[in-house]
Amino acid sequence: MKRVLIIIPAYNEEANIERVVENLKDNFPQYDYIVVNDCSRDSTEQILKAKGYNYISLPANLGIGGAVQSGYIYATQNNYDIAIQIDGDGQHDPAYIEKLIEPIINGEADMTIGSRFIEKKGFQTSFMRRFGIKLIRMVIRLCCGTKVTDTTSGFRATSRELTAMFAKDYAFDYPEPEAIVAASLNGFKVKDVAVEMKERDGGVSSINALRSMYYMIKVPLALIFLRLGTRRKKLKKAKKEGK
Amino acid sequence: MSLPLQIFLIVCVLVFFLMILRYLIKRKLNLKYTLIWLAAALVMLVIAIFPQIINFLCSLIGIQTPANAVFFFAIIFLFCIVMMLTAIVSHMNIRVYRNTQMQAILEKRVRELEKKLEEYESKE
Repeated sequence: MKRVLIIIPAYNEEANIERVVENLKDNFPQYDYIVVNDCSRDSTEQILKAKGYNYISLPANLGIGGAVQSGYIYATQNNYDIAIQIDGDGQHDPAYIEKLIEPIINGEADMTIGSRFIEKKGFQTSFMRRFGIKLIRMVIRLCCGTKVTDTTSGFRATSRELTAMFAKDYAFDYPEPEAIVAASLNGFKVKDVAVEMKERDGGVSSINALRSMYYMIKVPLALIFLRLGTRRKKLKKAKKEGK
Repeated sequence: MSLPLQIFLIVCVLVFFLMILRYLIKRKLNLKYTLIWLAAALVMLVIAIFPQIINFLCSLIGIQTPANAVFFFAIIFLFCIVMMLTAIVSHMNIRVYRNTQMQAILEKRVRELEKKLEEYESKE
């Protein structure tokens, strides 16, 4: 049996976090989980504490990249075979985790990305957001040839080796596309997996117009610099992790 | 350059110099990052005493007014300093992140150990 850790980054998720964790505990007890509270200003931490959930609480707000990386460090320290990232707002259905980790267990991939655009079912997000995702898809293909449809998806799984790499080096803000390119350039195999996503039902999303502008400029640039600064490594043979 | 202006400039540089020195002695500045300012103060002092240097630089790269040369070099110098500071901040950012993450992970371990200890003590 693989040891799987689910990393749940949470920033001001008091409205959702309990439902997300309870669902995991009730229906998916085969997976371990850890909530990374990114210095929330609401009562997220009190909920985590009162409920006795498994969590770490960052003493300063690091943003999604720093929070997820904390989870990767924890996974590496505790010797997990696979690390999964899911959002703390309930957009991602843990039922898809099995599908997500299958290619990693079979040695077909080191990283799998849950994509809502393969089967085009469920919440498809706004037009602008889709446009941004498509643009980044193109930049990623240019940078490393990897085909990923849902480039900003935060529903993803990584093998032990890749988790260890991310524990050492992971992008700070808007890390999802950069992680794909970093993995590919370092010889890890990235695979798209069809999933369905829900629209968040509580709390506020962290996306607004100004941030989107920053995103659309910063992320493609970051990808290009990453490509220029990394010497492409030979494709690793994704290790079939002993069962 | 008139003598009063020259004296005024020299006094300015000396005040700047003393300010840096004061901060250094009170350990509010790290010498590593302050050396460049000390060097800048020295250069400014030399120029205030021998303003002909600026005239020479002007004729060398073809700037007509000495004042423009002063501004030009000052801006280049400040650009370099700001770039250096940005690099330092970026580097520090990584270390702050790492510290924050490690502290949070350790806090979790302490929390769990304390809980275990409590359970153990209540059993005794």
